[in-house]
Amino acid sequence: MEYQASKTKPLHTAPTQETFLHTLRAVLSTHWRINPVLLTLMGFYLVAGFLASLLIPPWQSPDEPTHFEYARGLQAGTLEATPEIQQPIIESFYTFHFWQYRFVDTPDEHPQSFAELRPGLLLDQTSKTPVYYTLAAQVSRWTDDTVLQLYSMRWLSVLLSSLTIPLVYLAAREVLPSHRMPLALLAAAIIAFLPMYSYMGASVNPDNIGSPLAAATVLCAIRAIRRKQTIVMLGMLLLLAIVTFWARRSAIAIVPWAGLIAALFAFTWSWRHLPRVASVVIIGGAIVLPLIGVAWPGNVTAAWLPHTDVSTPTYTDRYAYDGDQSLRTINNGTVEQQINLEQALSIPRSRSLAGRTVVFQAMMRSSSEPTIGRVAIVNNNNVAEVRVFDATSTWTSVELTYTVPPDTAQLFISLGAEDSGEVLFDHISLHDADTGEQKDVLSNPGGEQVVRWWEEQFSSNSVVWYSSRILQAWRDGIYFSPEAFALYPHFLYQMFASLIGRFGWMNFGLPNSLYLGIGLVYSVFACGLLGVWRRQRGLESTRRLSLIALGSLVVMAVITLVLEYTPALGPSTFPQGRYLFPVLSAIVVLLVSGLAQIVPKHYDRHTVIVGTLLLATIWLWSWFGVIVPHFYG
Amino acid sequence: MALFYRSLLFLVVLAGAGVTWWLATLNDNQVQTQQLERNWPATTLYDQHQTAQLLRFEPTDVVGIRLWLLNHSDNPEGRIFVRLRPLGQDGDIAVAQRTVTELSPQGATSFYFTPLQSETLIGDPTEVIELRIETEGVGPLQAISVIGGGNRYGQGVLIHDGVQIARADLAFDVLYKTRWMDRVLPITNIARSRPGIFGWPPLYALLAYALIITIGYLCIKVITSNPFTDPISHNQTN
Repeated sequence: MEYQASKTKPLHTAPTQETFLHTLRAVLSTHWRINPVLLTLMGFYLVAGFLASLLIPPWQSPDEPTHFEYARGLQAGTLEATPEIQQPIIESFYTFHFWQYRFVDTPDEHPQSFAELRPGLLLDQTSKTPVYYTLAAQVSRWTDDTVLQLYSMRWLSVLLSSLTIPLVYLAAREVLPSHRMPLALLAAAIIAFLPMYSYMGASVNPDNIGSPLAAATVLCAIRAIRRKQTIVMLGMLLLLAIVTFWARRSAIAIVPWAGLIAALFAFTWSWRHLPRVASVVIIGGAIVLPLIGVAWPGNVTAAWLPHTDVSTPTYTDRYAYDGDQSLRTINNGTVEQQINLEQALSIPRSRSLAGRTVVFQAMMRSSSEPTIGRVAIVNNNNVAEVRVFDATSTWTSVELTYTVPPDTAQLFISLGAEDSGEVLFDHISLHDADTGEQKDVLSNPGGEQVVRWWEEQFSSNSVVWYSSRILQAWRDGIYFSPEAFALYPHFLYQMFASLIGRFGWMNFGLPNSLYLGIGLVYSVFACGLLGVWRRQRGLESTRRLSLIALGSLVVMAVITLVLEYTPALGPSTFPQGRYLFPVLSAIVVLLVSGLAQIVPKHYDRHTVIVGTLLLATIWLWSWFGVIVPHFYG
Repeated sequence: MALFYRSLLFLVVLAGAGVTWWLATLNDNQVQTQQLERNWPATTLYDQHQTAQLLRFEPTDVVGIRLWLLNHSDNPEGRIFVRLRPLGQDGDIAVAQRTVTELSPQGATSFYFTPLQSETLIGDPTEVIELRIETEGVGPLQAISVIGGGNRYGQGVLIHDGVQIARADLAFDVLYKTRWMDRVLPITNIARSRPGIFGWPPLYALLAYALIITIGYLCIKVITSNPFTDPISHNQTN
C-alpha cells in the first residue's frame, strides 16, 4: 500500500519535547503518513460516538433489544428465548421508558417474555449471521449489568463504524483528480458528521460491521480498476464482498457488483490473452451458465406450492386442457403423501379484491379412476370457503363464488384431492362476479412454469426467498402497477430522509426543510459528475471507470431495496436509508467527485473549511437540538 | 514561546473543564411535576386529621415537595409532617417535617428530604405514590389551610380523612435535584437510572465539553494548520 511509504522522509519534524503524544504523532506521520486532520476527525468521531452511546436511551434504536438478546444468547450458548436474558431487558424497558419513547402503550401486565409484547414490536434477529453478535458477546463479558453490557456493545459499534471514515478518505483519494486531494477530507467529514450514521454507529446493530467492510470492498474495487495490485485487489474484492454480505445481508447488492467487476476483468483478460474462440466460449459460458441455473426446472410449479416437501412432480404433461402441462394433486390416503397445491395471492392483489365478489373457475379431471377434487379459499389464514367436485376422466369446469371480506390482508387458493387418487387442474382463472372482468391475479394458471431448481433447493434461504418473491411480483406486474408507481416517490423520500437523520425507532427526525436543503445541495453535487466527461482535465480514464462502477453500485443498491419492499405495497413498509450504509462510501465519493467538478481548484481549501463547519453545525443541531430534547426534554 | 502558549492553552482548557464540572454540580432544584391551580382552600388540617394526594411521578432525584399550607394563627404551635409512600404499602419512602411557625402566611413552603433513588421504590417506578400531610401539636384553633385547585392534575386524587375529593387536587410542586448545567444540557435526566459512573450527571457535562474541545480543535486544525499538504504522493498509479 503506498501510504505505508518511505520512512526516510518524515513530513513532520520530531519535536524537541518527547512526550508520548509527540512520539505517537511522529510514528503515525512517518510510517503511515496519516493526515493529521483525518486523525482529528477520527478522534472527534470516537469522542462523539462515546457520548452518543450514552445519550441514546437504552433500547432506542431499531430492534436494539433483540440484537442485544442475540449477542447475549451467543454468550450463553443458546438462541432460544430464555427468561435469563429477556427478563432484565424487560425490566429496564420500564426504567428507561421504552414504550413511551416508542409511542406505544405500556402493557397493563408486566410481560414475562418478548413473546408477550405486542406483535411486531420486536423482530427476532437470530436468523442473521453471527459475526457482529459474536464480537458483541465478547466485549460485554466483563459485566453482569444489562445496561453496561449494552454500553459495551455500543462502544464496539462506535469503534467498528469509525473505520469507515479512513476507508472513505482513501477511496476518495483514489478517484479524485490528483490535484484535488484535499477534498478527500470532505468525504471523510461527510461520514463523520452524518447524523444518522453517528446515531446508528452508537447503537447495537450489525450495520456497524457491514459499513466498514463494504467501504473496504469498494476501496479494493477502485484500486483494482485503477490497476493497483490488480490481482490482489480483485481477490480481496471478492472475498470482502462475500464477508460483507455474510456480516450484513442488506449489503447484498455488493456481491453481484463485485462479481460483475471481477467478471469484466476476466473477460478483458481472456479477450486479450486467449484465442478468440476460447474467450468467446468462456464469456458465453459465464453468461449462459447462470441463466441455465436460474431457468433449470424443479419439481414443483411456480406459484402453486405444495404444503409439504415433495419429491413427486406437481405438474404433468399426460393430460393438459391448455398448453402442455396441468397441475397435479394427489391423495394417497396419508397426510405425508398428500400433495395439495396452494397459491398465495400477492398482498396488493388480495387487497384490491377486498369487498368484492369473485368467481374462481378451473378445468378439472381425475388422472384415471373417478375421485373427488377440492377447491378452498383461505382468508387471513382461516379457511373461508371449501367446495368439492366430482372428478372424472374428462375435463369438467368447476366454479366457486366468494365475497372477499373488506378486512382481507391476504388470500390463498388451495387445490387438492378430497378422496384417494390424482386430481388434475388446468386453465385456472379468477373473475370479478359483477363485471365478469378477468383479474390477472393468479400466477401460472396453467401449470406451464415450473419453479427454478435453485428456488426449490434453497427454499429456506432468505435470499432465495426474497428473490423468488421479487420474481413472482415481477411476473404479477406489481412493479409497474399504479399502486407501485404511487409508492416510489414515497420510498425514495423515506430512504433519503432516514439516510440523513431519522432517529429512535425511525419515529422522529430532522425537519423536512433540512432534508430538502441537503437534498438540493447533494443533487447539485451529483449533477457535477457530468463534468467528469465534459472536462478532461486531471481525470484519468481509470478514475472515470471507477466513478461509473460506484454509480452502478449505488443504483443497484437502491433498486434492490425498492424491489424488495415494493411487493408489500404499503407506505409503512419502506426501505430505510440505513440499508444504504454499505454503499455510503460510494455515495460520498460520487458526491465529492461531483463537487470537484463544480468548485475550481483554488477554492478547495475554502470548500473543505466551509463544508466541514456546515456539516459540524448540522451534526450538533441534530444531536443537541433534536435528539437530546426528544428524549430528555 | 510556543511552549508558553501551548501551556497557556492547556491551562485554559483545563480551567474550562473545571468550570464545567462546577456548573454540573451546582444545585438548582427544578419542578417537573406539579399542580398549577391554587385558588381554593381545599381543607383545614389539625391533629387527628389527615390530608393526602395520590401522585404519579418519576421518583429518582426527588428532593422535596412544595406545598401551599397557610398558617392563620397568631401563636402557631406544632409540627407538620409530609410523608411519601407507595399506595397500599406501609413503609414511608421519605419523610419531611417543619414547624408551623415556618409556614409562609401566603406563599408556598418546601419540605425537603433525602433525595430519592429509583431503587427506593419497589417495582414499577411509575406506581402511585401517596403524599400524606399530618400535624402534631396543632389544635383546631391553629388549623392550617391546605390550598388546592380544581381536578386538573389528572394522575391522582385529593383525599381528606380517607374520603376522596374527586373534584379537587392538592396544590403541589415536586422538586427535583438538578444542576445549573441542566439549563444547557439535561445531564440529570440523562444520568437518571444509569449504572455506576454513568449515573453521575457531571460526566455528561464533561463529555459534552470534551466534544466541544474536539470540534474546536478540528475546526482550528482545518482552518489554520496545513492539512492540504498531502502526505501521500500522487503518482502511485502503476
